Parts: sequence; structure tokens; C-alpha cells
Amino acid sequence: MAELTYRDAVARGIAQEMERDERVVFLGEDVAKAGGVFKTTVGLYERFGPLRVRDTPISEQAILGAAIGAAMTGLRPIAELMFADFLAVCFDYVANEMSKLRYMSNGQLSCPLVIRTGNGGGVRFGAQHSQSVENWTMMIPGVKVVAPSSPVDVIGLMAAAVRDPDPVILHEHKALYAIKGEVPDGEIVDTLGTAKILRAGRDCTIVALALMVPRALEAAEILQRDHGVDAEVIDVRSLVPLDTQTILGSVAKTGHLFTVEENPRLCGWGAEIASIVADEAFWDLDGPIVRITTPHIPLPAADHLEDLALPSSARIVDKVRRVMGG
Amino acid sequence: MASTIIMPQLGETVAEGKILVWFKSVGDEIKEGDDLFEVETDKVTIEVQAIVAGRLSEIRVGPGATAKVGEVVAVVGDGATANASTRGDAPAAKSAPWRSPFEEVSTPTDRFGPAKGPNGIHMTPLARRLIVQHGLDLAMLAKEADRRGAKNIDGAAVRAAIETHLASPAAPPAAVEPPIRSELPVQESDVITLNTMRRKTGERLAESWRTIPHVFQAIEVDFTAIDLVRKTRKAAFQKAYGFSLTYLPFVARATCLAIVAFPQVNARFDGNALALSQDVNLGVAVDLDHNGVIVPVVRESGDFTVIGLAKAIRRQIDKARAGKLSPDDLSGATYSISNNGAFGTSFTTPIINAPQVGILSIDAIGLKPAVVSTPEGDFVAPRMIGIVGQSFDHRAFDGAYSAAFLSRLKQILETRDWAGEISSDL
Repeated sequence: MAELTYRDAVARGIAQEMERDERVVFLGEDVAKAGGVFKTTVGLYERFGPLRVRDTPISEQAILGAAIGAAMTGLRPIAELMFADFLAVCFDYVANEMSKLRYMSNGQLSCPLVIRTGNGGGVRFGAQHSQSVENWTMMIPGVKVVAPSSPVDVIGLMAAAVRDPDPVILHEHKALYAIKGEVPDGEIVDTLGTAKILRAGRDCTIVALALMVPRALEAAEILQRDHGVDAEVIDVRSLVPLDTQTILGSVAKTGHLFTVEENPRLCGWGAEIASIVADEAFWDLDGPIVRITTPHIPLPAADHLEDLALPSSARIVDKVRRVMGG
Repeated sequence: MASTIIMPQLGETVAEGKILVWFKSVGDEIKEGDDLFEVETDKVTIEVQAIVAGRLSEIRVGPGATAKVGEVVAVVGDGATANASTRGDAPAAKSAPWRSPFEEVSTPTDRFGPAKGPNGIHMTPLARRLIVQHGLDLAMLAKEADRRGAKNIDGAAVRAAIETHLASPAAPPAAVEPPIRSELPVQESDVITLNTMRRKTGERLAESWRTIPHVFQAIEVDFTAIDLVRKTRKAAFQKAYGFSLTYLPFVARATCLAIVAFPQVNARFDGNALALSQDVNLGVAVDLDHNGVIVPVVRESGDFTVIGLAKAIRRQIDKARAGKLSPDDLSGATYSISNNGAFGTSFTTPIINAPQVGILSIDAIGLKPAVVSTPEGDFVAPRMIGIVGQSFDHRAFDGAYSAAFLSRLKQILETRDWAGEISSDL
């Protein structure tokens, strides 16, 4: 057992898979010699060499084009897109190519590709480098989408993504790179499509993802301490496949659902979960389903404005308390 | 490659089936055509056969459990799929219950009443469910909510009521008056649990009885002519077809003929419109030795002769008693006949099978003194008399229309050249 940062967990997860399977290669902008602009891939170039760890030109289309080709022809590439916002630059590859290969070739081709990308705000990068775009990726049939919130989940979900036979987008959160967590020794492999109940509770269910997970946990402690509300906190972890059973099971117990989403409100992932719960768990609901989200605005770069836009633990407490009457 | 076994389409209108028994266990080798499991719908029990071969690796819906049509009930591996995860293979994503892409959520079918209670007070969905499931007194709960100044009734309020028995209708009244007479306990010798078929039949009958304004009309019919034909053809018929010729096919045939002039009897009513059916698909109620009643359909009955109908009805009755009816044998009836003659009853008022608008009943046919008019005057003579009745949906048509239909039916039964019709077939 060792304490590891989220940032170092990225490198350890990639190294674990490159060590295990020589078909795993890694490419992206400044990922090799420089060790990544967020220092998430330090040491990989030295350890696995220039053939398997490659710097690319500043072109997301080039990165994904090369990675898709490599995946189609037998390798298991991991491609880094420095900022998740830049998925928009290569969206044709994401939405039309890698995600449709298996289907359109009737299974003759597959694309075992992992895109890892720096998602989310809170680090003052402005409207074009701070967006939480997990909902963009979740809407595409043919890709799987995960977003870990802890170092151990980074490694476990990275391994599961690399070993999956189809394209997986792994959203790392830029504001989580510095956090630390206990990580067991040895190989760590997790399962896609599983949520985790991080805090058991009786009164309401709070569902969160990535940076919103620690904020939801903090809110739950305040709700318990100051308002007598015992909240259950679920880390969704995987948007596609979505672990609806864990969420529905929790709502069946508590009767109340809150989603905490960093993506802008319109068509955020919580809307999909709210729809499923309103449908399947209708007769378990004891109050409205409430979504706590970033408003539908371009994210400001100014510190206090960005902090105001993203859901904070104080905002979560306030919203939950108002519905739960604590 | 693993294959999945799904709950098959069990008929046009069947949405789910309950698995009664699995004939195979996990690990068994399966060949195409092997009986896999027995499934019970609300009307029939069917054995489902395998259409793939392999080793049964997982049973997802066990005996006693219900699965929707299209839901995966089991998985068949090809025998080679062990747990070995080869290099580079992903651990399978945790699988939620398989659903068709067109049914990604499973919407509950239960309903627990309206959102507003007495005095317009709102209830949360959870509160509504708990109230219904626990048989609580809503008026009492609403009064209690008023007293507390609550804006709505939520799960906590209902749970509190359950705990204190506040809203339980069984709770003793607060009045101090002593009970005048306590009810004597009734000793129960046995409790008969209804099987799915009886339960579903019961639900359907109750719904029909509750929603359809039934009117029953009956007419006395002289079956002497038909009886004569039956007697003279009895032996030949028995010899040719192996069963005896009853009154039922005559009544069925006459019904089809009468419907030609009274098409509104042979229709479906949805509350707004009466859709007249092009064909006469006769439902014939069959008693399963007091173990439920089933109504198989003889499709396009209007095209059959008496002998043809006799054979078709017989075939459906045999299938019903052998439990071999398919769901399609049980759907699509446009008019029904209930035959209750076996025990000598005079008349029966049957319940309409919605969305049909009428059902005919026939009871015992026997010798009775009747007045016969002849050119020489009126005489009392022993005649084969029976009562033919119809329950009809008064929303669909009126008593005069039904009466005219019954009168036409009587006329056909009494005066048609039955001997001529049968001669051509026998």
C-alpha cells in the first residue's frame, strides 16, 4: 500500500498495462520527453522507449487518426488529448470513425483504443480549456466513457479501458491531479460499468462524478453534522455503460435523488439518470429529483467567477437541505 | 461465442411469461429442439424448445419468476467458453439485465392512484404506493396532514401512520360503545390459491363486469328440427369423425348466419367507436374440469358449414383440454359462445369478454310441452326446447337491435334446411 497522487496514478496505470502487453503504445503532445504538460506521464518514455511512447505534432486529428489506425491493425494504443475541449477538433474521428468501425465492418474490424483526456474546470484555464465535456462523449453510440475520481480508480479503470476490445474515453480531471490516495501494491484492474457507493446513507442519494465526488462527500458530512440529513454518496465512475442498478437500488432505499454535475446543465449526464430514475423508480420517489450543475454558460477564467459557476459543497448542502427540510 | 435464450413472443398480445420449470440445469449440454423450460402466460402453458446448441452456462430467470418477451432468460455457451481471460481481454463490464435497444428502461406497470388526495392534498409517489400497499385510510391520513399543517403527504408521514396504525381501517374506533356482538370465528377447511390463469381470468372478468353496462336478453328456441337431423345423422357422423354431433355447432353456424344481418353484434368497442369485424372469429368457452375456463377461437367461423364448425370447435376443445393451445388460439375473438347445457340449467347470463360487445349463452335443451300452431289449430306437443340468450354491451347498441338479432337467430335455428346442409358434407 502506498500513497499516490492522481497524477502519478496515471503514469502507473499506463505503465502497468505497457508492462503486461507489448501491444500497448502511448502517444500524444509532449507526453514523451516532457512527461506531459500536467506531468502525468513522467518516466514512461525512459522506461518503454521512443517506439512505444511517442510525441506527436500539435494536431488532435493526427493523434486520433494514427491511434485508430494502430488499433485497427493490432495494437492497443492509448492516445492523450491534452484538453478534453479539443475532442471538438477531432470529433469526426470520435463520433463517426472509431465508434462505428466494429458495427459498420460487421465485426471484421475493431478499435481497442483508449483516449485519455484532461477534463473539467477549477484551474483557471478559461472557457476553451476548462469545460466538462463528459456529456459530449456519453451521447455517442459506440464508445464507453469513464471518469475516475481517485488514484486507485485511475489505475483500475485505465487497465479495464486498455483491456476492453472497443474504444473507451477516460476523462481525467485536471483539478484532481494533485490529490492523493491510498493505492494497493500489485496489479489493479477494475470493471467498466460499475458505480461505487462511497458513503452509505438512509435519507437521500447524491450521485456525483470526478471532481464533484469529493465535493459531494464533503457536503454529505456537513449535511449529517449540521442538518441531520444522512446522505448516500455514489461515484458514478462510468457513464457508458451506466450502472443503473446501483443508483436505482439506492433510490429505492432513500426515495430522494440529487445529481451533482460539472457539465453545463442542458443535456448533462444527470438528466439521463433523472429520466431513468423517474421512469423505473417512480413509485419509490418521495420528492423531486434535483440536479445541481454548472449553469449553461461559457466557463469564466476569473477565479471567483469560476468558483461560483462550478457546483461547490456549499451549494450541494443548500440544495439538498431545501428539499430534505433539514 | 455465447448465445442468449430469450423469452419468446408468446402471441400477439402477450407481454410476459412466468417460467414454471426448467428442464435443463446449468452445465447441461443442449441440442436444438430440446425442451428448455415451461412458461405460463395468462392463458396458456407452453414448452419452449432450444434453437441453439451448446452448454447451458447461466439461468437468469429461474422457476417462478416472470420475464418480459425478449428478455434474456438464459445463456448458452459453446462449451469452449471457460473463465480463462486471455491476454488483452477485458473483464466483462458488469451487466445490467439485458434490454432491447427499444426498451432501455423498464417502466413500472403498477399504478397506485392519483397524485391528489381528498381536499386536493398532494402525495409523493412513494406515499401513494405505501398507502395502497398497506391498505391505509387516505381520508384519515389527509386529516392528519391537515392537523399538522403539512403541505403534502410524503413517505415519512405514511410510514409513521403504518407504525402507529393510525390510518389502518382495521383500527378500532375511538368510541367507547362496547361491541354488541363479536363475530364468530369461521373455521376454514382449506384455502384455494388461484393459479395465474384463474387470477388473470378473474381480473379480466371483474374489469369487464365493472366497466360494461351488461344487458341480458333471452329467447326460447324450438330445437326439434335440429334434433331430428342430429338423430338421423348421429351414427354416420360418429363413424366418419369419431365424436358425436352436439347442438353447439348448429348454434355456432346459426350465429354466424345471423351476424350477417346484424354486424354490430360482431364488433369491438373501445369506449368511443364500434369497429365492425370483417370475419366472425368465434370464441368458444371451454370448461377445464372446473379448473378454469378457457375461450379458444375458431377463426373465420363464418366460412364453415355445420360439420366444418363441429370439427373446428372439437379441435380447439381437444387442444384446450390437452393444454396445447397457442397464444394465437386465444386471441382475436370477435364474438363468443358460452355453452352451459351439460348440467341442465335453464339459462346463464355470461360476462362479456371486452372489447367484444356480446356473448351468447345456450343451456340445456330438452323436451317441454309447447304450443304448436297448425292449419288445423293450436296444439300442445312435446318439443325440444332451449333458451338462447345474449349478454350485450348497452353502449354498443340497444335492446331492440339485440332482440332483433336473437329473433333472427331463432328463425335460422328453427327453419333452416339443416338436413340439406349436412347431406352435402356427410
